[in-house]
Amino acid sequence: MKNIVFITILFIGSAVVLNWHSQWFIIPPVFLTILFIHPQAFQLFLKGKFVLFILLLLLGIPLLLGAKSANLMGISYSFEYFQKSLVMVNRSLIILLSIRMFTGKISPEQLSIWLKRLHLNNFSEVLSISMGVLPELKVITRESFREKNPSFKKTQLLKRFNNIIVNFMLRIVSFADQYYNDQKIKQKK
Amino acid sequence: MHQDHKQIIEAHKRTSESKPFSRDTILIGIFGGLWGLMEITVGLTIKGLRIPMGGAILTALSCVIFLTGRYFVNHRGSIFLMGAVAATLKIFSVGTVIAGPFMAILIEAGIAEVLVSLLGINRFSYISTSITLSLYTIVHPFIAQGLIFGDDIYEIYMDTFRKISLVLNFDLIYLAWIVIIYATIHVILGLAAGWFAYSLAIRVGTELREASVRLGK
Repeated sequence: MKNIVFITILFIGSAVVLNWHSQWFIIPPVFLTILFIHPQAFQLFLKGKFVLFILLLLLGIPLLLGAKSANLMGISYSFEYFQKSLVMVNRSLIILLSIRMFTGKISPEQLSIWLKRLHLNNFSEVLSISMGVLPELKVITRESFREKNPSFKKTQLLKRFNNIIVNFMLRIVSFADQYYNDQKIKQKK
Repeated sequence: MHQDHKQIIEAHKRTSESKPFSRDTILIGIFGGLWGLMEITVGLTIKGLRIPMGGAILTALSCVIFLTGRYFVNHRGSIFLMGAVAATLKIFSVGTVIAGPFMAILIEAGIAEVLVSLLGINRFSYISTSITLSLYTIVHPFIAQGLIFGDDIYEIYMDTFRKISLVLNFDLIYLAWIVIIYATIHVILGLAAGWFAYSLAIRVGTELREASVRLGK
């Protein structure tokens, strides 16, 4: 666990200082390490939106912006913007792959332990209460929003909606009070 | 059910049998759970349907939940705790840790916590918090992109807008107007959420007091 945290920090640090010259030395070892530790991180390349954005940055921007200073197969483009785009793309890849590697290696349980260490008082108690009451919360929510109140006309939609929300919140707070009283009674017994 | 989920419920049973929780802890747990549940269900629906300004709508709904909860828990740090619970529930629902939504909920909770702690519990504070969070949803992608791609991305955005304005022959001021209109819609959404959250909390509080008086009689 500590190794993953260290490697992630190291990779993100290297992404921050990345430039045109250093990227050729930084990218290969970073990609190889991530491929070795968590190859699933590379599923990032299956995200259509992300790939499209990367392609736009790499191909579109040098063609559209800046002074056309270079030529490839008769197509002129801005080498300055190509340099900038490539560094940006590589930086984003290192950061996103590192985060994916990190989150892929830690479990939600480890993350909740980490949150406990953030001096969040009672976090474990609060989380356990939430987990325990989730089924009841689902029932209260479903019942509150499905209830029909015939006293309101169709034109009073806002009033009706407001009433539903108030009743829902009343049930939620009453449920909290009931939970509190129940555990006090249990404790006495 | 996820293995970690089971472990936490078992831990809950053991803890609740050994010592009672305070009312505030229970309220934070329940409102945090409600926030998490909303993020999972409504969040998924909004993302699936690709509703425009989905982030702002989700934030407005979150504001109504945690600000109402904060009214009943007069305890600093409670909004952040609710947010931590909601963020953890969200990642439990997926089974793996997804950094984006987890950090977004924590940042949202952090901003709200600071604002409500500074301004107190009143209508102005609730409205300011909701408007700030609503506006933050516009800024958030740019901050995230700045961190991921670096400062150069802003330069590229500005150059692209300049180029588009030159090609289409319109002034950059029109772009500013679009941004202003977009931000105004977010402000209205935030204002409505904050106003509603405070009114809701007051009304629920009053009804609960009246009910307890009736029961007392």
